[in-house]
Amino acid sequence: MSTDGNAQSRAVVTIRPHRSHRTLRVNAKSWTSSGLTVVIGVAATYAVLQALWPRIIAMLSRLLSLSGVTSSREADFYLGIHTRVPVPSFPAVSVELSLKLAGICALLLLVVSVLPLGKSPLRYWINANIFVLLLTSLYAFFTGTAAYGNSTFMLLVERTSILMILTVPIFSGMVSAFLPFSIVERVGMVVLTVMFDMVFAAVRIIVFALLTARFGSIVEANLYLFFGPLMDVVYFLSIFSLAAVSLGKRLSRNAEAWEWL
Amino acid sequence: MVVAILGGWLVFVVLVMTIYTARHFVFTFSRIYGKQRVSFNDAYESSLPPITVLIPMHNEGSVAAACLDAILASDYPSGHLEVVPIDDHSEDDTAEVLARYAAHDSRVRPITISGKLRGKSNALNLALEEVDTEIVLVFDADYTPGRGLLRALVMAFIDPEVGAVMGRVVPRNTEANLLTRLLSMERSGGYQVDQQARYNLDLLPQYGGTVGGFRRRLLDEIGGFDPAALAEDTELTASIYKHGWKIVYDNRAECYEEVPQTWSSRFKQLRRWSRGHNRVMLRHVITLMRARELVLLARIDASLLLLCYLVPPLLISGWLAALALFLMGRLPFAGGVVLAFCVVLYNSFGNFAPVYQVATAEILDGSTSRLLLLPYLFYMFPFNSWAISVGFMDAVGDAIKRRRGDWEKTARVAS
Repeated sequence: MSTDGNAQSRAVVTIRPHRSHRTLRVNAKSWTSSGLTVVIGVAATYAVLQALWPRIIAMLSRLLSLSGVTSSREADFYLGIHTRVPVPSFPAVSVELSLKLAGICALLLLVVSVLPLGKSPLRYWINANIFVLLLTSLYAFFTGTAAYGNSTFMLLVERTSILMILTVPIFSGMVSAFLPFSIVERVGMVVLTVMFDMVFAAVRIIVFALLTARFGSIVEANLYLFFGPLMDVVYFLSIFSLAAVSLGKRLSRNAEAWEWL
Repeated sequence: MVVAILGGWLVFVVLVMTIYTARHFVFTFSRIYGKQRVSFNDAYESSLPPITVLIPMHNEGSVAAACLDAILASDYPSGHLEVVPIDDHSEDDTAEVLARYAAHDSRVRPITISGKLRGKSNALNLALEEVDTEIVLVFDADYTPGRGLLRALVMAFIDPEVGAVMGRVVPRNTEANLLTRLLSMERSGGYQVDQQARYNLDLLPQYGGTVGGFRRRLLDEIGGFDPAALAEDTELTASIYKHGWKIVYDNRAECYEEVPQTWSSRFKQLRRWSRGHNRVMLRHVITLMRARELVLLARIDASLLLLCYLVPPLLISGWLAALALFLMGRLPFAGGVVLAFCVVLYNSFGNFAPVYQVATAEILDGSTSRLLLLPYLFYMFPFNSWAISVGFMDAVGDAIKRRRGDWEKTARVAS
């Protein structure tokens, strides 16, 4: 009798209200921990950046020299951080090259449109890149110039990286404040994003330097608009999704974690 | 001069996008923190009125039986339920399937349309001429409602001011491939957060044309559906609010649908939605902005709702302006740290807002590993933008050439 009663009460306990009636519980503790994560995160990131960033940039300059690219170094002071940004020598935009490139891009657009890629988003990303290259080539053909000079472009890329690295703790802290993440998840999201951002920024600077050294300013628009700050959002999303999975799993294990209407 | 125009346009686009970003966040926070409004679906013992369920069908032989089976298995009182499948110029075995059901169940009364006009609006208008009940529910043929769904939807009409009700759409072929998983996530964000938040905030939930219903009186009042409408649901939503009625969103009234399984059919669907929605926008946005029946916030939200399919073409134009300024070496990067910081924050939060809404919805739905697909929503971005922009151009072409536009049905796979 008592066993049946226990079984029955257990059964009653496991009945959960419908998912449409769920809300999430976020308390003052969450807000405080997110606020602290932002403040400490920005301060720590800034300190690390001040100490490490000039060395990272110096290392990138050495790598660029080792790869055989002729480059100079441009002194920069941005947000209190001193660096000497590597600036590769660009080949000048030639009218002949612009015209050839425009032709190749037009041809590529045609080829991509007949390839069996269906209507998948990949095709649209490829097309968008080719289209931008086509417009840049045409612009260069008609004006004899395109986008920015070598030092302006490299400073732009480097400064954007610094700004993104410093913005990331604010962004991820604010985003995490409104969902019931644990403190570990909040801090983890900030730390992982900043680390990834620093590594990715360094890789991006060297790749951009190598590509612009080879092709000149004609590739700047593609590089900056597609693989610049836009990419930072993509990997932030990936790291956020990892934390969200962890949160989802925790909530699915613990019915008491939900707030019901 | 050129630089000033391009720069001005870019600033305008950023401002519009900022408004939509803020809207995404407001809706998400309303769903997490706000007081949640629930429909009347717990008033189980209330007396139920007679209803008619309309199911427009065009070549739906592969899915018709499943839909009819689900509706006929409903717990709605048998004597108060009439099911009217509308065979709209089908060339497959839809007619035979409907005849079979009509022969075995007196509640099923199929209608066949063979006139010159084709399309959902026209089909609904013709069917409504033969409907006697005050409450009419509409389902698409690929939908399979659960047993209690009709009852839950009808309960909304307890309130005499309610003109229409809308339930939640849940894809049933989610596991088919990446596209269906991503569409399932989009639907989750659209209903679990967006529609519910609009209902919470006393703004304007949208009647979605299926998994919902309306009062017959309302349709008489507005003169029926526009036969030329490609988005009769948006058209009806605008008309409902202009005539001072309310729409109830019932998040608990879930119905299962089949989402497109190929990128090609998804492209066509999005393009058609955009074309139809933008036609409604061109027709109603000004009058809805001025509608005295609505409070100011509701009018603003109505405008944002009607303008939402204009955002991707606007975004593409802003992006082209940015590209032009970049090529001219005139993009205002050097506007100081504060400006640069704002640009970076806009880039982060602006791109993140819709994904955040979807993530919140998925967490509320109890998803776990599927949340790993969140970055892929960003992958769909140019695809969606282009499909919607093409639909927008179609709508503009329709307006200029006074074209009617053909209804292109989404391909079914009978999942």
